[in-house]
This record gives sequence, structure tokens and C-alpha cells, in this order.
Amino acid sequence: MKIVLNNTNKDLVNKVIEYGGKRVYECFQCGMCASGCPVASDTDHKIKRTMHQVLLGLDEQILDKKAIWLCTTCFMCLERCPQNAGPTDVVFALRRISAEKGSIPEAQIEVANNIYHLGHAVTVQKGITLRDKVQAPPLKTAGSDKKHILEIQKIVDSTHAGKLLKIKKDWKPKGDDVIACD
Amino acid sequence: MAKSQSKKKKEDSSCPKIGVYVCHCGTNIAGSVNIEEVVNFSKTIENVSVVREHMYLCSEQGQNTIKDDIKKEGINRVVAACCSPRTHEEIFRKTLNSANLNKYLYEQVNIRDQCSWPHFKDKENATKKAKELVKSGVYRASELEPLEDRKLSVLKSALVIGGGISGINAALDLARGGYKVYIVERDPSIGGKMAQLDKTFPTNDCSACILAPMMVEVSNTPNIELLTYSEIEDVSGHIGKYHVVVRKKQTSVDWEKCNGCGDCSIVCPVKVDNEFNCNMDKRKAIYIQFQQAIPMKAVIDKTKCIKCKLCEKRCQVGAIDISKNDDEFVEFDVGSIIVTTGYDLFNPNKKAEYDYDHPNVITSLELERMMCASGPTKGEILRPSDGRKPHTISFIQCVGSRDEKTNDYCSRICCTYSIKHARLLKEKYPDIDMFIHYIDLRCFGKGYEEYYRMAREKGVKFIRGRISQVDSIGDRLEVSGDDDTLGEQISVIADLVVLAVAMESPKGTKDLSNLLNISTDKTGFFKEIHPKLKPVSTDSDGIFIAGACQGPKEIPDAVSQGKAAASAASSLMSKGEIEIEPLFAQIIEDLCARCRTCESLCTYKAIRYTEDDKMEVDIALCKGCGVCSAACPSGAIKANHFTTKQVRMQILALTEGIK
Repeated sequence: MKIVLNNTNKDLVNKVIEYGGKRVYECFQCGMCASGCPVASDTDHKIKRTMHQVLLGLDEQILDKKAIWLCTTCFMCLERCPQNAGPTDVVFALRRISAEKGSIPEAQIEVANNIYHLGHAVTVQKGITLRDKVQAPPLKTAGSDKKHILEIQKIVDSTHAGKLLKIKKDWKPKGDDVIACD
Repeated sequence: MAKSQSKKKKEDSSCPKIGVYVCHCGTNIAGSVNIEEVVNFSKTIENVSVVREHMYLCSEQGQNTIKDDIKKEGINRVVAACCSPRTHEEIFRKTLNSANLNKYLYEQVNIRDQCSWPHFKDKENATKKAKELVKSGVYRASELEPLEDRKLSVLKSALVIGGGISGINAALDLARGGYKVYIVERDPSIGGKMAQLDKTFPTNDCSACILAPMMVEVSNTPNIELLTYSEIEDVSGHIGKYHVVVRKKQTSVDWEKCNGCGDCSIVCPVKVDNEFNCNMDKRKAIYIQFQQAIPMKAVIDKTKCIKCKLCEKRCQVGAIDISKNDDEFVEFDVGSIIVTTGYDLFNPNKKAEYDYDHPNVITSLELERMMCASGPTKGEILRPSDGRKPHTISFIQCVGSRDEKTNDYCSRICCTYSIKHARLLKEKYPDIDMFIHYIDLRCFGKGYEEYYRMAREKGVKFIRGRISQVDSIGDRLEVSGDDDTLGEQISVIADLVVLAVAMESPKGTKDLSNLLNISTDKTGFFKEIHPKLKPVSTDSDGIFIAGACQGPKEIPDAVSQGKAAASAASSLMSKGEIEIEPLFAQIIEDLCARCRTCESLCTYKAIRYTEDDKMEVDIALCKGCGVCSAACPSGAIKANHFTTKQVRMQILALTEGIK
């Protein structure tokens, strides 16, 4: 199917700039970003193409798609971009725009809820015995103190991030032996 | 004194003592030729008394080795086995000269271009060939004769053919240096293509504002004689003294009287396409080419005039005489010639897929005229079909460039001028969408990269991929192509399509090249002698080329070359005389039967039959090609430095032992 470049979303590029991808216009498609990207070879996240799609206003090809969420935000592209076009910033901006539309993958919702309820993105399992064997003190996660969790929740609740990230008050972490605050 | 000198020379040539010098040229030669083997072999050749090898023979150290051997070893012939005589023969001749050995007793064998480069994969045979070539060089050297350079007087005046930006710069530089300059321009005004431009990259200077003052200076410089609306009819003669005949096309207007008021154009009832505005509006049959024309004089287009004589009656100074029909001829002599004939634009009809016949498909120069405040639309961008403002403009790059079917070369300026157009238009009309469809963006000049970046920042969209077709859809155009980054076919529905057409050698280049005896290359542009070291010299001494007639280039390069050519011409003319190589043909009168075979064969018109029944060689014209010598049935022509004996010895060396 031929892509017609008229009538594309001309606001997309302005929105990306507003949401942090300030130098997206500088991109001249050299491919430095994509050539060093650690996820490009195994995923649909093709950052050079994404930059171009933003400039052309092809929002349907980027937003609502999984690819922009596959970026590991390693910042390799941002470091190496010869035009300082900030590809990672553009990815962040696109995620923000997507989130605003309510379009976030399940995995990211889970991460957001983990942080909201546990204080960290990745869950920690209870059955870790190695620490005992080396006589290390018992594990205390960021969320082991309820006080800290409440602080995190206060920050999230005072912004509209909670809504965007689909935070559920009755959320339960995956697995039944997760370390959580009491 | 003279006698004893000639006796000494005879002694020199009768018992040759030859020095052979084999150069490594780093690994350039030594990488694929066994130097040691060549050296050992050279020692066995007859008449060779010294053989040496050197890492870089052309270095001061290398040259000193040769000088020392001439002085201490008494060698009287030098053979250098190294690179190309085109770049290094002059250097080593000077070495001989400084050691008081006649510089024509030098022979150069090119074992780089002939051996190490073409046979780099076959060292054994490359070495074998090098040995054979050295042997033939030595054999020839044994027969070399000392020769003396000839002096030739040079007129301190120059002809500049073409009054564009390159020619204007060349002419002004020479005139400032005190030389008399004639500018011959085909159009009624000087200024060339640059006069048609609106703004110039990368500074967006108004083209007219930087060009017009120079044009005025040309007309105010007493040393410059301006011959516009004129063409070169004939050029004869040679370096130092060319005889030029110029045809001044009949204007039917006495330019002495014409004050450029333009009243004649107002009353003229005949409207014809205006070439200056790319035929997008009309001019009259009597017209002044453009607002800033130099000279600001009217011209009657004789092919369009209906002879109503309205202009004649209107002209208050009585400058017009319709009955004048004959062209005038002007003749003069000059010491050197600079060719700055510029370029023509590629005819986009040759790429039928871009539908140039459609009114809304235009060339970049047409857009340029539209953008110009003095152009057909007074600077407004309008669709030619209906005069409405476009919403979307597509720029198609490389139309007639980088294309084996039309021109295989890159025209160099199209990327930057399309960026200029898109950028200037985006500044004026931010709501128009601009797409530039390119293959590679070649913005190579100083400040051009920044220029390109600013276009991106202004929102010009760059799509990598050549456009395959332009079709009309209703009153719009569908531009179909490919987007390399998306990996998808794309299309743009455009209101205006702008074709970045290639630069081509101008009409008449072939005729001029025949007239001046200078070559063109496979692209049709004039050919420089050496692309790096002699960029404005041609194979006719005293004739130089500059600007786009040598190859596509932008204004800064055209100006640089114009100035370079002026400098080259100036250093040629400044002393009033030059030394020329004595490599010309000599008639041995006693043997000559006056059959005049040579006269008819000479490409350079250097041999002629004189009134007192002699054949005479014009040594300034003769290139020493040897055609006459080879053709002469009675062997009456000796080609200096390439005598029959010398050539025979070379052949003998190469064929000895072959059965």
C-alpha cells in the first residue's frame, strides 16, 4: 500500500518537540542511531525510521505500536548522534504522547504499578536463601518501609501520571512470594 | 665561440654516456616492479655508464644525485624510469639545465603508469616490461640531440569569450592588471545565468545586487572593450598573437545614440516569448534584455520584427534604423584567450516520466524567475495553470544528472539550489509543504551544511529515493516514488513540481572547440590539461577555460576559476615574450618536392606554402605531432626530438631478439 505523504499529522512533530524531542528536526537520516541500537536487530524498534516517521507526521505507524516501548533507553543513540538530534528524547516524547492517548502496553502498566505499590520496577522474590548462606543481613527493598511507599504514591497522585499509567488501587503483584511492605 | 660550442655538442652526442635512474616512488612503483632487477639489467645496456635507484627521485636529494653524476661522472644523457612526463618531465629537464647539460638530452620512461599500476597483480611481467621500456628509453637517449628553446613575443591583450560571472571576473582582473581585454558575449547584455537568479546560496545575497555593480565596472573600465550580441566568427594565429574575427549581429539600433529609455519597446506591437524569464511571459520584438542590462541598449529581434517602424518614429534620439540588416565584423589581435561560455540547462522533456509538458511541472530556473521580484509573477509563487497559490511543492533532484541515459555526472549545484528554493519559500509561505526527493544530498561547499540544516529546521521534508513518475490527478499532480528509510512506496499529491535539471555543456561548444583546437571530454564540457594541477589550461597554449564550460560548478568556483585563468593569462603575457619548446617540424628544403601533402594533413594549420615556393612551418602553431614527418614521401620533414632515427632506435630496442 502506497503511503501518501499529504494529509499526515503535521502536529506530531510539534508535539514531539513540546514533549521533549526538541531537536528532532536535526535528523538527516545518517543511521548512526540505528546502527548502534542493541534492540534493533531483534525487535521492530528501528529508531532511524522512527525519527523520519515523526518528521513526516506518520503517527499511525508509531503511536499505538509496541516498538517505541522496546527501547531500553540505553542512550547509546543519544550519545553518538552526530547532529545531537536526541533520538532517545524523541522516544520518550512518543511514549508520553502514547500514554496520553491511553495507549500503554501491559508490561509497562505492570512496571508502573510495581513502583506505585512496591517502590521498585522489578519484583523481588521471598525465597532467596543465598544471603543467609553468606551471613548477609536480610534483604530490605525500597518499599519495605510503608513511609517510603506513601511518599511515592503521594507524588504520583499529585500529578496525572497515575491516570496515564493506569494505576490500580487494588493491584496485586504477579506471583505470591513477592517481598512487599506489610 | 658559437662554432666551438656546436663542436662540443657534437662530441657530446657522438659518444653518449648515459645515466639511468630508477625511482621507487615509495611503494607506488617498487610495490609491483622489482627495482633491483631493473637496475641490474640497466647496467648491461650499451652506453649506460651509471645506474642508480632512489626512493623519491623527484626530491631535492634525488635531483642532486643526477646533478652530481653529470658533474663528476661526466654523464651526458639522463634516463629516468619513474612516473608520468606530464607531471615530472619539466622538473627533471630543469635539473639537467642547472647542471649545464642541455635539457633535451633527457628521456623519461613511465614505469608507473605503464608497469606498476596496470600490472600490479603480476610483478614478474611488470618487471619484464619495465626493463624493456628502460632499454628503449636508453636506445632513444643515445640518439637525442641538444635543442634550444625559441622565444616568441606575446601581445598584452586578451579575449574573453562569454560574459557570465566567470568571464566578468577574468576580464576585470586582467584589465586591472593593465591588459587590454575584449569580451565577446552572445546575448545583448553581459551577466550570464547569474543575472537570472533571485538569491544565491549560502548567504542568500540578492544575485542582481552583487552582480550588477561588477557589470557596471566592466562597462566603465577603459581597458575593456565590450562586444555583446556578438559571436566569434574566426580565430587564427597562435599563442602570443591570435587573430580574432567577431560577428556583431545587427541590432538595427545605433548604440552610440540609444540611451536605453525603453520607449521603443512600449510602442512595439509584437509580443514574443521572453527567454530571460524562461518564456513565462512576453517581451517585445525590440527590447532591452533585462532591467540591469549592460550595456543598457535596445536590440531588434530580426526574426520577429514586422517592420512596422513604430519604434523608429518613437525614438527621440533617432537611434533606430530598421533597414539595417547586415551583420558587422570586428577584427583584432590578442595574446591569449579565456573561454568562459558557461552552461545550458538539461531539457527535461528527455525524461518523459516527469511530464514537463504539464504547466505545473517547471524547472528550477523557472521557479527562480518566479521568485525574483522582477520576474514574471513579481516574486509570487503561483501555479502556471491557474495562477493559484500551491499547497504542496515537490522538488525532484538529479533530473538529467547521475543517469547513464542522459548525463552520468553529478551537476554539483542542484542539491544546494533546491534547498535554497525550499528554504526561501518556507520562510515566505510557512504553510506550504515542501518535499525534496533526492538520492544523495551533496552540499559540499563552505557554509552549505549549515544551510541544509536550516532547511530541515524550517520543516522542509527530505525523502531519499528517486521519483519514478509524475501523473496529473485532476488539477493536481501525483509524484510517485520510494522512501528509502520507510522502505515503502510513497506518493505526494503536489500542486507544483520543480525539476532540478542538470547543467550541460552549452550549445556551440563543439564548434568553438574545433575553432580553438581545444578538446572536450566525454561529458561535452571543455577539458582541462590536468584535473588537479592545471585546471584552467587547455591543450592549446595560451587558451584557458574557466567556469561552468569546464564542468558543472557553482558561483564561488566559477569566480575562482575566472580569476585563476586571468592569473594564468597574465603570467603568460606579462613579460611580453615567452619561451617555447623547440618540438616542431623542420623542413629540409633540399629534399622537399613541394607536394604539399603535409599542408593538407596538418591539424594545426602550422604548415603553409609560401609565395617564394617554400614550405614554411609556423613554429608557434606546430605541436610537434609528427604527422607531416610520417607522411612526407621524400623524408623532407624532421620532427624535432622525435626524429626518425630516435623512434627507430626505440622500436629496435623493443623488437630486438623477437623472431
